[in-house]
Amino acid sequence: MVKVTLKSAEGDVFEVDEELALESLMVKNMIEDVGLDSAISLPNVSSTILAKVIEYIKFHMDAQKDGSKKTSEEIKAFDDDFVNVGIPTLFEMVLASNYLNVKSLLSLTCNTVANMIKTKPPAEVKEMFTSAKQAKA
Amino acid sequence: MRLEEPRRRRRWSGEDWAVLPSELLDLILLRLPLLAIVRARSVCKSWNDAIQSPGFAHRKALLDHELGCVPKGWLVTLIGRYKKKWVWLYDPRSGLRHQITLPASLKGTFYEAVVVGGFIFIEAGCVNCDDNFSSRYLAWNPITGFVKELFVPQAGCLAVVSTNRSLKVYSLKPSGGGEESKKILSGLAGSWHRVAFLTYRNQFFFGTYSNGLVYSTKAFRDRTLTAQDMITFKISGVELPPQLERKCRWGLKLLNSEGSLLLLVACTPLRRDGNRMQVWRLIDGAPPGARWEFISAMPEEFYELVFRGKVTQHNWRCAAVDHLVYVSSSHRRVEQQEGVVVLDLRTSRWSKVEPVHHERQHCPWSAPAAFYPSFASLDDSAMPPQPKFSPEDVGTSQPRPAFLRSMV
Repeated sequence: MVKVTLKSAEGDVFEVDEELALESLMVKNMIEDVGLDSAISLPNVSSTILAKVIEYIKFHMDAQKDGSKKTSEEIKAFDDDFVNVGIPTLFEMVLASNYLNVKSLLSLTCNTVANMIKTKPPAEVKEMFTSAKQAKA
Repeated sequence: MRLEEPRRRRRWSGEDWAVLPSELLDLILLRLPLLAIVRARSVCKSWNDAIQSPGFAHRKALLDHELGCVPKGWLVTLIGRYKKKWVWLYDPRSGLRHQITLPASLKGTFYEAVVVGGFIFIEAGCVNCDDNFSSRYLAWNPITGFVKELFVPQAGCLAVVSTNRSLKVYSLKPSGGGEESKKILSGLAGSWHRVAFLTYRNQFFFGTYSNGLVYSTKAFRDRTLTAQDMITFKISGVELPPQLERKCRWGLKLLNSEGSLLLLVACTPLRRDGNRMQVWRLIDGAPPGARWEFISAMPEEFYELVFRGKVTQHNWRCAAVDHLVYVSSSHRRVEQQEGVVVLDLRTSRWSKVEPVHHERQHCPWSAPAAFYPSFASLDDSAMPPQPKFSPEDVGTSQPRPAFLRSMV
């Protein structure tokens, strides 16, 4: 199995299967351009977020394989648990999935943010976004 | 002594949360339900700009279509007092509820709301004692803020039929036979979906559309329904379930749920004989020959929540979304605690739902010069040719009618 080396913003190195890395259209394009020899650096994605994204892709690839025993309830439970993180992390995941161009994760995270917004009055939405900014700073 | 610092008002703009690119903001906003989008406009200027940007309403309609979440059944749950008019709009699919202040021109004695092609149509109907019925419509696009008023004067019977993409108002005259039935406001292509309101001789009758027929509750005392074929304009009657007898004086409503006709019957609790609110379904095809099948009766504890001891034609509302039937109270005086009860047709289970949100929405009614097209001069010859319609068309996508296109 061919391995791809991904380098996060902090310089941590992740080695993943090529099949898994190709799920990200951005990495796929990079591989097509520069080949597999050198590490692909992702300066916009931190190590924690990259680890989470890899975990997400891995789970869904396993679930899609033939002979996988995962039910749709289990997949949904994983997704719910996966996005059950603090608002700053969630926003970073939105950005990372957009940057890495992982469609399913982008749609999942955007839906989660939308669900958080839809029941809140505008003042609380503002607060939610400003506190996310402060936590980030 | 320490003087209190003056409260500083910082202007917050969405750009502060700097790294969220506009296309991501777009993705998130598009996934909000219609009413939540209206609210998101007041979060900050950049959000408002994103929502008002050209094409947002169109992209929202496309995404809704793709995800299969076009809102269909809506409830107007509460009507404000005489001079200060407002309505609560409840969207069963998202669970959101909004209070909307109506513009002064939209006066009426009863209200209905339907969602057609991204527009919320709010109907205000008026009835006076000498058989005159008139109705005003407010077409409101919550995303673009577009507002247009329509005025429909008509004596006699009126049926409002809305589909996913068009709104039609029909005049039905059961007494005069098929030939006298004529459209008074039409011209939109589309498949029939629901009759929002039907009235005859100063009395209120609710109707719906199902499988090519428009049903209206015609005469309670005869215990029949009227079914009118929209293609051949043939009118026929349907017997009500014999068990109902004279129980259902005012509490009779019709819904279209997943292609079949539902009959909701409520009676006042003066009669202590068993079920006070029942749901029936019409089976075995079109009348004559159709039969009623009993589905479920509302449990005692929910009855009080919705009807509060009395059934009139206006104090309860119903809507059908997929396999769920929503019933809500529509009292004038009870503002916050009204109940919405839902019946799952697959399991025949009743449960109570809490509306997620209470908020007053003061809409910027920026109606330009009030638009009142004159329908008085319209007759069938002035109508655009009616497209061929078959029952199979229900639910298929139709080109967006020019009427709506020009309003975006």
